[in-house]
Amino acid sequence: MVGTPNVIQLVGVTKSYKTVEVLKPVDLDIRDGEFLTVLGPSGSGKTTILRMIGGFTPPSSGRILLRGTDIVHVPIYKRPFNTVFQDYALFPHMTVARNVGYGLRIRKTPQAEIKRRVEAVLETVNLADKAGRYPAELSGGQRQRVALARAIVCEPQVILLDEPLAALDAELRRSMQEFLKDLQRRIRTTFVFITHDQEEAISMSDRIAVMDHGNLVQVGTPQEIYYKPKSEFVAKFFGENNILPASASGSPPLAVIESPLGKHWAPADHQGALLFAIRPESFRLHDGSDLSAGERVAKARLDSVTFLGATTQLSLSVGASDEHRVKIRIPTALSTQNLVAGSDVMLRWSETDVSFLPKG
Amino acid sequence: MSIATTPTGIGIAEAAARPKRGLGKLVARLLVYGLPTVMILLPLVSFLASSFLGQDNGKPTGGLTFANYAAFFTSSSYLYVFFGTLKLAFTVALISLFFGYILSYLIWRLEGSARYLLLLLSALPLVMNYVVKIYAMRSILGFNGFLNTMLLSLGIIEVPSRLFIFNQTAVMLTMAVIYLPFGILPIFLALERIPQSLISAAADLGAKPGQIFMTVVLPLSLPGSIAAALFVMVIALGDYLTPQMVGGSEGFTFGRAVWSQFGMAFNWPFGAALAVMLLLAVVALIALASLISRTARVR
Repeated sequence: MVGTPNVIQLVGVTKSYKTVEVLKPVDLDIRDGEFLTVLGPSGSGKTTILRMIGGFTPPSSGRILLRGTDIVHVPIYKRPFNTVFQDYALFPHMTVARNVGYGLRIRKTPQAEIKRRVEAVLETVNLADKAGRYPAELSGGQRQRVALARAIVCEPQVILLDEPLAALDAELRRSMQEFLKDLQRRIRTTFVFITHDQEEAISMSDRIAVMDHGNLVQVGTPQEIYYKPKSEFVAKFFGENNILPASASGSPPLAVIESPLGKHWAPADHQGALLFAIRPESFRLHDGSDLSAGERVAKARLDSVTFLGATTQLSLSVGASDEHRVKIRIPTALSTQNLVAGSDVMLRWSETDVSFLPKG
Repeated sequence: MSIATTPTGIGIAEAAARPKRGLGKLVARLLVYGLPTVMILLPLVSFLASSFLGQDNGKPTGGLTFANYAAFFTSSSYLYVFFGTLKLAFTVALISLFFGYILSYLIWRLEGSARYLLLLLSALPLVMNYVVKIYAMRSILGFNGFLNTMLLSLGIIEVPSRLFIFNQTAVMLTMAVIYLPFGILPIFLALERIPQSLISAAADLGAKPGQIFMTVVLPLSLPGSIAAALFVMVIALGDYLTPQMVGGSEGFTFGRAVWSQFGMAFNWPFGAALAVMLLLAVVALIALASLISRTARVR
């Protein structure tokens, strides 16, 4: 296992409280140096995963490997991870400098080195001038950065962040997102970030692990999660999506998929009733120019036009008797101003932008 | 009433209601400031005033004098009892702090329903009758009491000891036991105020349980605990019944001195002066306690 690119591996990890299974068996590899976001609605088990990695709660079964070594029985204070807590958990009786130096003092680091490292890390989080303040004298964003500094000064192998931005207002949140992402690039440490905010996950992460009801439903890059969802939950969880009923038939190697937007071909592992998903921005209006390979067209009736600024949203009806609704978003242009509700338009999209999901 | 729907009508209705509300406010003010004045401040002022009165044959005379205070400050025996009682109350407070902290900490570390059950049990003596508790302690500490019987049967002593009853030690032990619940509750609350996430954070940063206690739990709960101990000291200072019942002639305390001036010597002005001295000590302690808990809260 030496030389594995994974810092942490969860192997069949579960968690039950009495008879309630809050986490079904989870397998998850966390790669060295990546920004991995565990995303899910509240109660999906994302915080449980973080708490088990950090050592705050033991898993009910399964193994947690740190570079190949099982650490399930390693006590929390011996694990080379540090956590940024949702409520920051700063020690109210210590100054910023003493808060940040806490982990180093506990490890009996020489005084001079503590001083040097604390100063350096406070510089990194732009708090050098606040070293002598107490947490109660700082703003929310400043406390947040102290909590970060306190975690990174110990140079952990992984930094665990438990919804650290949840308590900040929208503007501060955005600047902290950039700061965090930038910090992670600079110190090249693995970040495991917990959030319930899809946009946050998409804009910050190298990879996203999506949780739902104690299941790890999909792991992938933000693009994969967004454009290639593997389940209806993931398809609906991120932004707007068009989800239409479809059915697959035919024999290997290709299945024919009948949908309100016409026939598609897909690998033959799809059979029977399924769902057809495509993003609003994956459509264009067909201008009659030549179709390239894999492009498809379908007729639709325009129900309404909504001007959103840079884009315009069209609501359309598709299907044999116009029984299915589709929303598309196209760049606003002179031509979009001439669209009239009630008229027929031709939609154009690429087969690669379509996902077929199991029904149900 | 139809007028009230027009804008001017509303104005009239408001104007009519204003004096009424003013009266209500006045009554509320009178209650807020008046009741404490009548029920707390007036008795206090009257007893403060009586401490400056001269007295003759058990009856206060009209003249104002500092003689009562002069008598206190020039009498070595009263000063001795005063400082002796301060020391006794301080010892009781220290014992409550020490054992109260240990018990509170153990209860605080428990999880689930056992925790609140034990807390309830430790607070239960608070609702028991005070005199009953003293008698219970007397039956434990007495010459033929539980403590002596046990020591005898264990062969540690050969004749019942008189060390545990009718002296300062008896007063100290009884107060320490009776006032322990007064220490446990506020200390438990001080511990309970420490967010769980701070303890998680300390462990996360590498602190072992002992280190967490020394660097996080103790510093954060100590101010509240010291305030609790000072509170116990205040109660112990004023207590005259416990020394009366288990102190005997050796266990004379300042509370008993005050009581004897009122109840036996019938020198009320001097008794009031002694009570004022006790009050000053109590106020100083409470001020100290609030100062300690305030500085702790700012951080």
